[in-house]
Amino acid sequence: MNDAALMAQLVRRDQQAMEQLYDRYARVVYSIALRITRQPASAEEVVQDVFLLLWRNAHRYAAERGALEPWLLTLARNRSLDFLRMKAEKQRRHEDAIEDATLPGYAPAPESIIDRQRRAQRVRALVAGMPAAQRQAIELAFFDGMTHSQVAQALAQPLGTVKSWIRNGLLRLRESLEATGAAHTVGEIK
Amino acid sequence: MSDCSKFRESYEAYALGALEGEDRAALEAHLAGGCPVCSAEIERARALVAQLAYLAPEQAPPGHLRDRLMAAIAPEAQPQRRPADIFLESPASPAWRWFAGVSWAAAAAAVLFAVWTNREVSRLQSERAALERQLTQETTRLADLQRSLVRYEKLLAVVSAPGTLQVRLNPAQPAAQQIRAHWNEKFGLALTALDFPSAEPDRTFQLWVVPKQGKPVSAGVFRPDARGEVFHLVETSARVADTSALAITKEPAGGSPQPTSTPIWVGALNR
Repeated sequence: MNDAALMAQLVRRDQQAMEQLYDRYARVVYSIALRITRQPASAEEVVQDVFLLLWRNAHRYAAERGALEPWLLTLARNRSLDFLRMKAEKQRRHEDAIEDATLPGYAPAPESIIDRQRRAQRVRALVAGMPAAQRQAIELAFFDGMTHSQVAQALAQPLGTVKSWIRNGLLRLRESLEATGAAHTVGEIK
Repeated sequence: MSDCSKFRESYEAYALGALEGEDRAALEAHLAGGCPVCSAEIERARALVAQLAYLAPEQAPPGHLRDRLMAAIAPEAQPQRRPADIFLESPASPAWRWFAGVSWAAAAAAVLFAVWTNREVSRLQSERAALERQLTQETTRLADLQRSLVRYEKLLAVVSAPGTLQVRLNPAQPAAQQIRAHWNEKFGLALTALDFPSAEPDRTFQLWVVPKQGKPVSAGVFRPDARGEVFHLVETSARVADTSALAITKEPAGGSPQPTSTPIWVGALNR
């Protein structure tokens, strides 16, 4: 059953649909949360947040505007970075932030687990093939939520160089994914 | 609509959250004006950036997390009714009467259908099992590569970081090779060597941080791989300033709380 069908069942409060979506995406959501927060307990909280948000806002999902995966990945990243920032502020207003969260969305065509694994492999291989500094720049921006200036400072590199590394790296990634038909169409959760 | 071309180079950085200052403010003001072209490009960039999530080393969530989540949503979940439940509710219900009328025909059709599909299902199941096996193998291989990559990145961080101390460990036997360690208090202690001698199956090598005062502290056990390469990276709370030497001994498998043999390599810290 594809994501859109499961989301439709989620609107009807079907717990089995939730179980299927969890089994499909919990691993990648947990992986990114753990990579960013570096604490298993924090990563678990992020996973719980992400899937509760999915459960409570399923009715706002518009299947015709796209599928689910990139939205979940983005939410997992944002929640993890938020978690770190909130932790720095002693997690104040944590609960409010969860309730007020909006649901952006952009999605790929339905695909199998094997397609997803293949795409993940391509992303890793491509980034692993980049020069170490360029890879570090992209990872600092993505996993540590750093801006261009912060990355430039962290790597002691000129700002312009860092901007080029990040942009060229992402464009290469897009070319690579598009070449294999794994690029995403963009959709929305209203 | 204002000129979108000046924002073309900012879409990916904005989606990544790396864009800042005036560039970010200008793009946000432009988006607030409702530009459909830039909005679509930003969404496209967000979908691309989301794929970077796959750079995170794969980790399975703990099993109890699934149970906790399901318990959290259970009060809001709709009770799931199996198709049979509809007919079991009341034998006198219209649903039951309808079911009784068509049940024999349906049962016969179901048997025929089951026979017909049985072979096809078996074939698909074997294909699926083969694909799942392949997926598992590929995932394992990928995870290994991912682990190697992370280790090399960490080693690079230790070796290239400012303030990293290089320590030469000299062999007790003159014929043996010299080994190098790199120590950075922030990134860890790395020991690398080629053509390293192998240890007996019940023995292991153990690295020690020898303080200026007090007993040696273990910095982990290691064995060379099949090619004789050693790559040992540990985080240690020991401080360079308080350390007089690094040493390697051969210990029973699993390591020892304190050295039980004479060091085979020793490197004094000269700083």
